[in-house]
Amino acid sequence: MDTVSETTDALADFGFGEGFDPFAEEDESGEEIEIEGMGTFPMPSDEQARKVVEAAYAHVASLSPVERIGSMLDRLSGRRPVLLEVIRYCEKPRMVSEVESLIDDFQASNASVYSASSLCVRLLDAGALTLFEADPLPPRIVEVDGVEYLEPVRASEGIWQSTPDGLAAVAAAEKGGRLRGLFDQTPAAQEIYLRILACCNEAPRSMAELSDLLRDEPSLERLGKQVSWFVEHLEAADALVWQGSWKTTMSGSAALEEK
Amino acid sequence: MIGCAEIRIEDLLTSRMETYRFLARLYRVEIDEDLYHELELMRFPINTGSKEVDEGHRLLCSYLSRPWSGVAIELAADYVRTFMGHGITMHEAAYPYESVHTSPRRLMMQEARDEVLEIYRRASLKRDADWKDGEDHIAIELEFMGVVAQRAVDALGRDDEGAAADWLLQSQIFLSNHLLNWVPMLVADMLRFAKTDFYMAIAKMTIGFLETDSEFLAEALCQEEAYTA
Repeated sequence: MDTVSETTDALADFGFGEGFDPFAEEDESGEEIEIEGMGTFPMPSDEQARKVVEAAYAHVASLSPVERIGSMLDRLSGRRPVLLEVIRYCEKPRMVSEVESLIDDFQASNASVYSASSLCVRLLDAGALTLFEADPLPPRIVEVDGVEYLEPVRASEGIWQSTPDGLAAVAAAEKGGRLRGLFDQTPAAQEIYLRILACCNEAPRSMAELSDLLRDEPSLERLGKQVSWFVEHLEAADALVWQGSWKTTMSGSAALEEK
Repeated sequence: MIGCAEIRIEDLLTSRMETYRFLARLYRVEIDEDLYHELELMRFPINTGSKEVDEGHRLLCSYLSRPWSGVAIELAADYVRTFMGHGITMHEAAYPYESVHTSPRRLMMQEARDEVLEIYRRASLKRDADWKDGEDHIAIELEFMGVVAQRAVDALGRDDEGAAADWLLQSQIFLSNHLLNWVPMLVADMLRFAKTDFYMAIAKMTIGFLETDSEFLAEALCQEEAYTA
């Protein structure tokens, strides 16, 4: 898309404003800025800006590697299931395209503003994945009509692999700590949670099917919640996952066996 | 008669038009997958006569050996880091606006923007409604050069050498009074703030091409003047 377009084919002389001096000395004090009608404001120095950024990330720096991954999974709670799935999948080395394909399939029924590569970079930054890339290859020289050109030579695809810390974060999620916390937090709802898990363990279910399942459940009215409320909480506790329909996860199945 | 004995002048003018539009695209928004794959298939001359362009081609070609999946986020992040920065002091990125580099307080939408806007209007050009940024953004200034270059090509296609020479003169004036007036500073900042060889290559290719085009225009218009006289 062009950002300028022609309106007519007219041509006029060019002219430049008097007093235009691109070489005029710049005011480089950088101490304050004046905004018309609002007065002047102090400008932070680079050092001040650096300290603000460091302070903002201080809490992350103090976390252990596994805690840092857990913190990232909490911050991206809506993407938690797919992120955990990627770490599991990359226990063995996987090509970048394989991982992206897994994420795209996973997100096909659960759309996200995060692209596959963006999620992988989040996992890389948090220390849950490692990326192995071949060194860039030098371009090849070709001659066409007596003129020498450079041609890019594509290197082999990168490989993702989970780190021990990433796998430890998955193991922690699979222990069902979040689900136990959910049960402890709302004991009165535990029976409903288990019925949903059992139902979705038999076969993937739609929300309509789950609503039918709990249509006559008296505690629903007593708790004043819709079925979707329970499903969302189970999903956040790693016990249910949406893949075109609701399915019970490994940690959800483990909780059923325990009960 | 305009130009050069060995290469057809039409081809030369078309090539510079394409280069301006290519560079404009590289600056306008982040690189996307389609453009990256197009770049992977391109050939880049080794000896262009410009050290900067040659170095830019070498850096770019080496960078393009990396698959898109490995560079997509890196390139998007580097575009933001290089051209937008994260601060408010106007000294933390290579701001791609002429106004920032030519106004005392490094502010956007200053005299330079008004001037180029006036030039676009006089050339009967208007901004695309989707473009929400200043008209003195480097992408727009480069695209303006591309449009003017296209007009020179069209004029030559009609055997109207006088009109072609006029358009080349407009190119020379805009290049000298605007692009070459601030792009050297922009390029210096790009080389300072960019972290990828990709944007460092674009910086070198840009300044190298503008300087080469300035020399070409001077020579072409000098020959035209001599011929007319």
